[in-house]
Amino acid sequence: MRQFDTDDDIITALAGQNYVASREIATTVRMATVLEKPILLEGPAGVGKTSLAISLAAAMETDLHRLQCYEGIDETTALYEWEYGKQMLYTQLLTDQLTDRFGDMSISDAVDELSTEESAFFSENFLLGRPILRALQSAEPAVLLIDEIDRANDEFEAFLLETLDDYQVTIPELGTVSAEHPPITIITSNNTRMLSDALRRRCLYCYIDYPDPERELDVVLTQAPETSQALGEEIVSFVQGLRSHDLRKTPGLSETVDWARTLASLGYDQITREVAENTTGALIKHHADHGAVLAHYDEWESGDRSIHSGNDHDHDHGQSHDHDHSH
Amino acid sequence: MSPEFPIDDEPSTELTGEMVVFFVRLLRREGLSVSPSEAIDALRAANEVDIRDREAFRTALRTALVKREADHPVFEMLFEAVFVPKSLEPAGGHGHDHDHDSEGGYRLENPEEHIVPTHEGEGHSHDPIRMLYHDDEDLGDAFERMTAEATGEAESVPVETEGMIADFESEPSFTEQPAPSVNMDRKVVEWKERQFEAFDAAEKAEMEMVIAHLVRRLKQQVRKRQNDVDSGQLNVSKTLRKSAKTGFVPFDPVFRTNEIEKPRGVVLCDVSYSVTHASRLMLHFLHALGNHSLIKSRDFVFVKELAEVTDLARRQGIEETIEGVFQGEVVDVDDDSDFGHAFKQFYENHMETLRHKPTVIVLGDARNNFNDSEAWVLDEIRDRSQQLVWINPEERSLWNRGPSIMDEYGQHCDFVEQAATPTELRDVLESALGRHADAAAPTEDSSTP
Repeated sequence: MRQFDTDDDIITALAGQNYVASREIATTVRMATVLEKPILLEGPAGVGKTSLAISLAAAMETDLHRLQCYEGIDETTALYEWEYGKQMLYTQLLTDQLTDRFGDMSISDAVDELSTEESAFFSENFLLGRPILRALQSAEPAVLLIDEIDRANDEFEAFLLETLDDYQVTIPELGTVSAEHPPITIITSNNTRMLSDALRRRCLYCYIDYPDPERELDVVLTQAPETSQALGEEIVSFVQGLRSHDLRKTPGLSETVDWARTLASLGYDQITREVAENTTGALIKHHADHGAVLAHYDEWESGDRSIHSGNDHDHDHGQSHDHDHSH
Repeated sequence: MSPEFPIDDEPSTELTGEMVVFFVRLLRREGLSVSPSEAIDALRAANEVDIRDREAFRTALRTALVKREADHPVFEMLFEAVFVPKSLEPAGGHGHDHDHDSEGGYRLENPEEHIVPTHEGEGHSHDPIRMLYHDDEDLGDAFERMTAEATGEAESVPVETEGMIADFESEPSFTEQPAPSVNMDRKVVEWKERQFEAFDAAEKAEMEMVIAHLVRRLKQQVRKRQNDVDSGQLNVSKTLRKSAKTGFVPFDPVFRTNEIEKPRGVVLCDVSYSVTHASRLMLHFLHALGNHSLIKSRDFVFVKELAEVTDLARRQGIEETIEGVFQGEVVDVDDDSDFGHAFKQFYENHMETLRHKPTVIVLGDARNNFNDSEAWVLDEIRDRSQQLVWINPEERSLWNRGPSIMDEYGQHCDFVEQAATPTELRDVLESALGRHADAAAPTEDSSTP
């Protein structure tokens, strides 16, 4: 398990997992580890919310416990379940012993005696841990990913609050289980439903938007290393422009990477009309968007292909600032 | 004008704290709700970063204080205005987008005394984190101050920071300000009975409250229905199969349930001027219902041209969408109403939205301006939907007068309702959802006779 002291450590460690983190993400992650607060990540699909958790777990050399939310998810999927089957099996194996022990007792004595042993049947031996419980019981700080919480209903959201507040869960038969090492919790949402303020209040909030061209190029070149620099720039420029169109499903970062891989493996070294016609299946996910891609191609082909076109902001990200003096 | 307030040396913890507390107050004045616990998070976060690193400081404050993407612009505006990079001219206003903060540090764009809390003499002698945390004597005060602020003056004054700070100075101490008490029940009643036409922008927040109230009621109904349905009989075969692993001891009995499918809706909303208020409320309502997973609806708006706003509302929020719609950004709202044209467009392009037999609701006054009615489309819709409901916000006595052809359209609908107030609208929706659930055939599972 690795610790991080500065934002740059985090950026470097994530880069080692092929995840290109912005400074904002790095600072947020560090805040989360220091303050022991969950992170709520929002943003469009395919911009790397889930993969942040996965890469972070890998970078920290710790376990990832992933809980995929869906409509109708409940505690037994998220927290724990009693293993009735196992309890039953043990009882049957013990039958002989029980006969020996209770054979000559009256029923009420036998029940009294048995009830002193009750806790043996509701012990952790028979507890089947689900992601949240496993993350809390982990021997070192794990990463807990609660994915797409907006798909779960708001009852489940409310149920999560205890966990998020104190990193503990209550199991009626056993008592309260508190985490010795609070997991780094990452909650993602695609915003299909508004989350409650109660949940938001308990989290650090980070919105990941579609990346700017520099970061997107970075990601393409890291995740699809077979892509040449020139092709990468063309792809990024094309996709960035495409996002401004009104599409059924705007391509995210992961689609850009898929497309780059497709083009590289098919041996294209630049985007032609043929490419736009045949390979955009990696990029767009609705037939209705196909026309828009071709229209965009014509526009893009005749315009400036540089990734910096139409981008007047001063992107001085100041990678060089080290303020370590006076420490 | 504002005295230089440079942060050259390692800033003290108290100073960081003062800055954060000050900034939290500014956010609240702009209408963001920042809870005391969030303010504490921000204090702790700010102490973890080198606050002379502007970007890190910005991220620390933002992640802890601003929990909605929609609130980011307000945060950015305030942050840019208050924590100005040192290399820039004071009160520059221009060129803020050049972040030359690699030199480190920034000025606070306000005189020092502004960030001293109203407790004279005390503020600087205490570490604010301790004030909020440990120091028993100050803890109460600090919280009272912060919560009073959170619930108190909600007037949002989007002015330049200069004025804002001045305002802030002259503001009476929060502790003396009793929180304005709102008689919720009376307000709800008042709003429920009000005609749509009475709404205006300033009253939007209260409208939200009424909607939330109504949504809760609807939700209880749905849940109750679900519970009724759930209490089925024992499903013997499934229980036996499931208990096989526990030696046929039925630990986990399975009951017959009739799954309630989430109602699907398709809504065609006339947004012409005459029914503005009703459609505004309708869109709000549907969005709220969708948000609470009570209904899955596809929302269309039309005057003459028809356009879908479902995705738009999801992307940019219902408020902006509705504003956009009525400012004519989605469809041309200055067109004359042409229901027939809109219906035909729906038939040509959007019939696939009827795939799961949704409930279709048309909201409009049926004033077709003597265009072709194209009422046959309604028959097509009715065939493929669970039910077709027409909601007309106009008084019944006005129906079929002038260009209104309510009766002609009405013949092709399953239900025609008049709804003019939020309460009436709620009742219509409630009964529509009820019918939808009933019609969605409570099928017994087929495994057992």
